[in-house]
Amino acid sequence: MRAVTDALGARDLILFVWDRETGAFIPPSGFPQTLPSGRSWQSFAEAAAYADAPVEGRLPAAAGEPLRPALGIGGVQHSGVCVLIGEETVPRPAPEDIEVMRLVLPLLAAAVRAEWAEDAAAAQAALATREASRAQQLVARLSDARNELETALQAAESARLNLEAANVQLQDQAAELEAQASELDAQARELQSQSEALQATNRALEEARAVAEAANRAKSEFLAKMSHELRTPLNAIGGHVDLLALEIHGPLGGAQQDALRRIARAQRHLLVLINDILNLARIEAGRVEYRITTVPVADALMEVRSMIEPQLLAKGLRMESSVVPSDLATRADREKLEQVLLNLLSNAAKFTDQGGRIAVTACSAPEFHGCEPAGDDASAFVTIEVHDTGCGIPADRLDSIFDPFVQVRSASAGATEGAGLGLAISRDLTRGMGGDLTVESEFGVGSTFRVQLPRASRDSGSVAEVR
Amino acid sequence: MTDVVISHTDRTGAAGGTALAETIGAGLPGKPDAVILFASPRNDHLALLGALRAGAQPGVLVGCSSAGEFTHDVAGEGLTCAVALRNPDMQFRAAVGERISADRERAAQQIADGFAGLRTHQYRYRTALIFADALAGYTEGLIDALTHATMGIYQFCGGGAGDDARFQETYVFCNDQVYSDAAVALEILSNKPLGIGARHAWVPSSQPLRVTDSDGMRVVSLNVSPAAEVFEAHATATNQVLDRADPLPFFLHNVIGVATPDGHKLRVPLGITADGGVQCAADVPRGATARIMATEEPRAAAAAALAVRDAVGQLERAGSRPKAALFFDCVATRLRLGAQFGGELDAVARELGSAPFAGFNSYGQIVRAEGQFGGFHNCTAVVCVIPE
Repeated sequence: MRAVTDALGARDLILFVWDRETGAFIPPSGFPQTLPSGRSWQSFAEAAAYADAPVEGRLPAAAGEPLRPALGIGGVQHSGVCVLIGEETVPRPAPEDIEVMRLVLPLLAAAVRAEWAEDAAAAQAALATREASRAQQLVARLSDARNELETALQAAESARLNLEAANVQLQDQAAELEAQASELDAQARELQSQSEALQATNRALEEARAVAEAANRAKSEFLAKMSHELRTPLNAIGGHVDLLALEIHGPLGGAQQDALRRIARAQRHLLVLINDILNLARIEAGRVEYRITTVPVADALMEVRSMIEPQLLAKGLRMESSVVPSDLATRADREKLEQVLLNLLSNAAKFTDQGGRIAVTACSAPEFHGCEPAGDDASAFVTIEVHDTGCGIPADRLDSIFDPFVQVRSASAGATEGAGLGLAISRDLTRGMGGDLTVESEFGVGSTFRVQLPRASRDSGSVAEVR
Repeated sequence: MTDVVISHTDRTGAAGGTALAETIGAGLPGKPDAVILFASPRNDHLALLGALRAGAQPGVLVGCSSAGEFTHDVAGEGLTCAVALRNPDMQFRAAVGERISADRERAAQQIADGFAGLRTHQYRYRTALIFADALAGYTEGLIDALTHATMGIYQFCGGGAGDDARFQETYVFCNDQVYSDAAVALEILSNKPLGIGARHAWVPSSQPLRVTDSDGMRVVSLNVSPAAEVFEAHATATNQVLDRADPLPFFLHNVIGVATPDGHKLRVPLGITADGGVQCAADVPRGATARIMATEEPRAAAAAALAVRDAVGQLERAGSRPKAALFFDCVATRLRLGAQFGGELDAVARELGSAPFAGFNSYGQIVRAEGQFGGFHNCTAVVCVIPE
């Protein structure tokens, strides 16, 4: 451009291109972008652009400098202006050169606009490149975010599956609990039913027991009454038999005396039976009264021995008694104790063959039925044992030997006398006095009946106690 | 639920920090999660920050120097205003980007690295308050870089730090540190939206002008003419007076609007350079199309009200209501309106109802939010509404 300027003989040359957006004439790059008194330049350029011939004027080329002569040549189509600036004057180009410039200026303006467009495009391209770079960064970050999201989704899916599994498990547990609850309900209902049935059974048992007790009392009362009613005429029979045997009503022949003895024996046997029944009935009816006193054991045994000795002598049996301490005493009803001992000795004599042996022992005992006493006294009980060498009792009968109307047969005794009530009465009486009666026996060898009663302490004195 | 205390003091330095801390402590049920501070340049900023941090013990503290401070009930120069926030449903973080003038992208990346919202999906809305040392320049570029560094998922608002229109030294604050040539950001993560609005009241009053030469914030020429000449011609054409020795009164009523597809970004001329260029408060790109813009006083209040209405509407559409607001407007607006600037603040208060607000006059306003024309502006009213 400098060569063109010099060829035209100008100091400076400035091109202006019309800016469609602002309507101003703007120099292309490479020309000054700031000119003093710019409005003057704009006015000059605009005037030159629309003039058919070059326009002359004076313009400030630089700040602080004087105005310079200027010649403006506008191109056809008014799109570009060439301004020549001189020192003192501006040489006017030849007409053909001016015509060439007018024709060339639109081309230059187009080129400048193309340059501006190119600059804008370059700027846009640079911006696009920068945006593309940032977009790539964003894509990378989005990719990372997507990966994180996928990982999070996988974790969420895993958590969801775990929750579903847990939910299923909970549902199973709930169903199981519901089944258990139903089962418990059923069991509760069954227990309720059983409880009601048990209560009904208890009520029935209570009623049955009451009926049985009433029946038992009726039976006992009946037996007591009947025994009394039977014993009265039987005693009368005995009295009359005794009078006949004394021959008060006249002498008796041998056959008559024999018959009378049979009648007397039968009467006594019957009387014994009735007395036993009467005693048992009284016991079961709870009508036995016990007069408990301190009973020296030796005295009781001596009294019984005197009563049983005729029976022992008649059968040729010997009886051995151990030495009983004089201070050994029991708390008992003396009459009933002697009745029990007499019954036991009578049974021993009855079931022991001739030549057999009967032994009686008595001592204090620390135990009662094998149990320790409750207090500190090691000898709280008195034990009286009656041993015999009789036929003994079979093992399978031992449990029932104390039941009423149960008898054990023996070869020597044959058909035993009595109703089988003696042992039942004896055990009931012993228990009524606070003790017990037990037995040990070996069949064919012998038996031992053991009476245990509370021992009288030193301070018991002779005070009687009625039960 | 947001708890907020807005306080102000005319004390400076440590005494000012202590006074603000006492008000905050008395008004909040616990320690604030964040405190936003706008402090007059007539301050020992380090002493102010130290006393405020020691007294209020906020989770984070951000702010900047200012060119006029105000709240819903006071406005002026030489004040210090603080907004203390507490909300267990929000997360607050502070980040600083340094050496803006040297490398905007690096500074933006420093800020983005301090944001938690890029690494968590726990919160639905991401907002950042940005305060920049506007005298360092390139704030527009910083906002662009920050937008890219945060993948465009944040909305921004804020302003350039000021110094009472002296245009010499401006600062930003982060916790107990004072920075220049830097920007500070308060990241707010929430599940309720924060509303952001931006409006200006300026309209073109000149033909389009080509920015034939510029250098950053200095416009050298328009339509080949030195920029000052263009303004002088405009003054003559519009019967105004432009005194080259004191051009600011004219510039406060005549700013540059840079054409963008979304409207005109305003650039406040601050002075005339020796070569006849015009120094602005923000970048003016060479080759841009610009116009000289003008406004009328009532329009400023109306624009501010519309900005608030836009922001509140964003909350209401999400079923929320405003609890408090931050409001930023240009120092030029305050200087141009003078005492009538109070009318603009009244308009803001009317739109916010019972919600209190605080803010400052800034050297440029920052806004980048969906539906808003974004970037770095001058003479634009910007509001950030905090939900209940």
